[in-house]
Amino acid sequence: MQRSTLAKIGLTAVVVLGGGGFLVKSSIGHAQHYMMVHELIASGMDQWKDKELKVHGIVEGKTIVEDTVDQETRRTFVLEKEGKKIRVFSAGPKPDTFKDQSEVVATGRLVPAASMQKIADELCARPGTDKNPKPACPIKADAEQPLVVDATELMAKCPSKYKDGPSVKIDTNFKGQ
Amino acid sequence: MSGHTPFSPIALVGTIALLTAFLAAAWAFAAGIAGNALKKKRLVNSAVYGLYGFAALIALASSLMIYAFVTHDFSVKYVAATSDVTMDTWYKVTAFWGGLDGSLLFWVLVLALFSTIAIAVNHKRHHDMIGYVVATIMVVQIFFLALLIYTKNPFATFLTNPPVDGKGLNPALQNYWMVIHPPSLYTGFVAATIPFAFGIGALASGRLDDMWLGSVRVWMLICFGFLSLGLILGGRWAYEMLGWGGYWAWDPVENAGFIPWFTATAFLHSAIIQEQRGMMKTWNLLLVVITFFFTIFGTFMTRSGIVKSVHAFGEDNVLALQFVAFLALILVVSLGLIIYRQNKLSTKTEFDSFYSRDFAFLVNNWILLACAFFVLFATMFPTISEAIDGSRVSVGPEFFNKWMTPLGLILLFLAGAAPLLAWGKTTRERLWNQFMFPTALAGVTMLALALLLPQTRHSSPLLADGLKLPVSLINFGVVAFVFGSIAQEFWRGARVRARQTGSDPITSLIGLTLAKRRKYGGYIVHLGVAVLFIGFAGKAYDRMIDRTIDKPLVTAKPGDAHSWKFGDYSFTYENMFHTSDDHKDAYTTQVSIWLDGKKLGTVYPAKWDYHKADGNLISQVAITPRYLPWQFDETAGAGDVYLVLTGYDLDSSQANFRVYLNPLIEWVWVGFLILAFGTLVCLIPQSLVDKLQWKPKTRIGRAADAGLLLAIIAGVTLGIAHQASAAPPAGGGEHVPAGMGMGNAGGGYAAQNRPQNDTEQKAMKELLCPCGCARQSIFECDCPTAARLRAKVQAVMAGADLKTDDGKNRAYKSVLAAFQTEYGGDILATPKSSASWLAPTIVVVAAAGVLGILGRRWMSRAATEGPSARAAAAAPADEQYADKLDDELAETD
Repeated sequence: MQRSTLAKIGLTAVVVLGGGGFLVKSSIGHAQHYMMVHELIASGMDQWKDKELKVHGIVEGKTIVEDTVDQETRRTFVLEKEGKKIRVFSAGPKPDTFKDQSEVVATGRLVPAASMQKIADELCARPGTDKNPKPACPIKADAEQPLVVDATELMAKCPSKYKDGPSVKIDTNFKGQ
Repeated sequence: MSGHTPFSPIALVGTIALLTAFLAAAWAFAAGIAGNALKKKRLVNSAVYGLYGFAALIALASSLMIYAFVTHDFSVKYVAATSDVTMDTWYKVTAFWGGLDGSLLFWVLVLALFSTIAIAVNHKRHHDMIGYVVATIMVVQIFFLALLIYTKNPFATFLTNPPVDGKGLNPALQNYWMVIHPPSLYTGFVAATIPFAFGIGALASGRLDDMWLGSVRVWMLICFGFLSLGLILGGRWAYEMLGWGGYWAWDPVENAGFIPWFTATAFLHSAIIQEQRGMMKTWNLLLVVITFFFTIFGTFMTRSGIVKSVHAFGEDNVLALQFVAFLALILVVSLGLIIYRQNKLSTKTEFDSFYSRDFAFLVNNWILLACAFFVLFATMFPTISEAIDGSRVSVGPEFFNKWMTPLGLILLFLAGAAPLLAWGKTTRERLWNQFMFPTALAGVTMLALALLLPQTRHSSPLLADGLKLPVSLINFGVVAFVFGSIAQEFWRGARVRARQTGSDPITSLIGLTLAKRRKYGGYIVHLGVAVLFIGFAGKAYDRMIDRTIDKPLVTAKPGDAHSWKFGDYSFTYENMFHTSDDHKDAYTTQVSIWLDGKKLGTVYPAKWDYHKADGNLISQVAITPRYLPWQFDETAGAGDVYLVLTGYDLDSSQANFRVYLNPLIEWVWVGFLILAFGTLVCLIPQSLVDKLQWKPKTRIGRAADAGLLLAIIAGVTLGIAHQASAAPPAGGGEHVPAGMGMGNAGGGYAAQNRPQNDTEQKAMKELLCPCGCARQSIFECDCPTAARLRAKVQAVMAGADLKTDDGKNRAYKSVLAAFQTEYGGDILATPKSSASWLAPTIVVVAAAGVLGILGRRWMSRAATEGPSARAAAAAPADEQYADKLDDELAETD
């Protein structure tokens, strides 16, 4: 083989491997992990602090507290799976099927519970109504775990009757910004 | 309805049609291969008719399926699963491709239709490979048909009593965009099969000259056009229906359409290198193979459930296995053939210079391929990662954007730079001459934006977090560069043409575009891409807010408790209604949008609760476009005000709203329309242009005709635009636009009577075509006269002994002699016998001498430039341009 051909092949290999390596490295930095609540807690939560991830669990009954402050709707609730629990805070729209015992995937960052205590108190500041009771108040943000999920997006896992057919998930999925 | 017995004649006939089609396909496959391998013309013909018969049977099965939908034959499971009696007829028809089984049948139907056209056009021309082409297409058909018959038969019936009513089509799909988005993506996917079949045909038959490229290019362009259309419609659908304010979130199913788009685009460029420079034969075949591979892989990715997506067709391991086997077959056969034919594919030509169009095209190919593989990698990332360490990991849109932004910007730059470069090598003078204006325009644009709009100076990370650049500013600069480059190309081309034909600038511009449709159509596509990038840039500036308003008030004013403010806009929540009809309950809010204390309008964002959708609500988004000049507000800017009702409480009338301000987003749709227009210009058949050129005798008449043609294309394009701007009619009544009329599959006259051997080709290259103004040989020329003369060459040479060099030489000479006797010496590209060639030579030499003397005097006076030989370089810019244009008139098309 000619030297120039070898040089070309070598250069191509370097570019491809270098680019590929950089790509893999960069993708690891951006990877968003998807975990069940119990998997998250079992894996040691501290390593996920301030990282973005998706947490999948079931909304524990009577833990949803929601209120509107300055035209902004905020809520908090507890996600549970196999006996393990973690508290989630979120703002803005929620999936139409979001309720007690519904399956939810919360996308967001793990933050220290203490930093969300103020919001928890605000949510409990007004007494509940018949329609929107607040049985969980007052809330201690770190009662479940020292870290809570500050969610930008809630996604409901709902059984679809279109499983076999043309299934396009309907707007239960609001992209957070 | 077929009563209470599960028997359905439609299902029975449909199933029989599918089974018979299977047999026809098997026959066409076997006869095609045998016919070409054994050189049996009758077998090849029989394969071709087998393909036609197959298409007829599939058309029958599809008509039966549509009939079953329209007549509510719920004994057919598929009909019961995807339609119901209350649906509008249009949705019933489109429910045909609404589910997995039907969409597979639709795939087979479109491929049958396309292959019929492609084979009918190319049958005679490529007789020695058409059997292989038919066989390849039939393998693909057999694969999909086997899936249909064995696992996904759309004609399967209930064994028990059929339901009285169907389940209905997913309400999210009951939208006019959804009626056209999936079929156009499918159509794009399917169109990639034709180039693949011709590629395999060329490899199998060993006819690896540039002939097959011509047949393939048009289909790749159709593939490109439909993929673009499908992608943009998907974006528009997401924008209107999903309520998250965006149009593109790197969803795996959309990505599956995007990956072959990159490779198809790469092929459209690299095919030109092969035509012009004879290089990259293997590469082009690889691109054809890989584009087809990605279309099947994309289908596999989305249908087998290996990648999670909002489209979620559900997991299906059997289907996955079948697809993997088919994908492996494609790779093994095509790569095997490419390796087997390597000796016929190797080319000696090398790139001369980095400053050449060839090299720019090559870089373009690398980047497009890098894009394809990057999107593939990132889409598959969760699957790969789960396979490696079991953890479910995904990468978000930010990751895609971070990589695709720089790649996209380089591509955009090349879209402006490549047209400015010459084939082979670009001289320094020409570089300067060509790049000066576009570069200056880019510089001025960036400077003006940086000074006037400080937000464009904002830096964001590119590739790595550490590398921060003012991406928007760079983006707008590159867009300006492309505008400058394309405008300059049109301007200079039109000026040269105006001087040559003596017509006005507008006529020249239209004439130029029509004469070199591929070239200038391509430039229009580049322009469209640049406009798309203006829209993409807007993404960096979009903003979102969520507001919960406790009570509506009909007389609400900005500033009170029923209003909220976002950006420069104010919103007043005025009312909430609950209405219901046969299909749904609608919860509608009435909101007015205000700017500077003035009411801009009232919109009605809503949520629809379809009775058959199990509590899944569909958002009806209110989009208020504000981009027309008179709507422009200095602080609010131009763009969409996008309002979603995200939640409501009927008892208290409390409502949750989400507002997006999406600046510049309209340019995405406008850019696409320009791109579509350019693609259609590329696809205008030569025969149509010929008619225009021969019929009317006056210049004005010709211009009027040419203008009419472009107007028709613009009309078709704007027809799509109209769909985009039309508000969705309340309660259905939507319609699909008529077909786009991309029928012509052939390469026009250029493709007729192509040379069958080297001697014919040599002779054809030596004979000048009398029809055009440029000195094109009948080998290159695409007018009907050239096609007729090529046939004459073949007639003269028929029966000649071409086995020995001597025989070849004699045949060649006899052709030239025959033509010279009939047409005179002027027909020869290099006249030998007549003295007439002396005249132009003398004129040229004399002119060069005079120019040289003048130039020298002028130079010595200016004391800058040198010898007479470089007189041409000192000539005015557009003369140089005329030379370049002449070169290219001979080169392109």
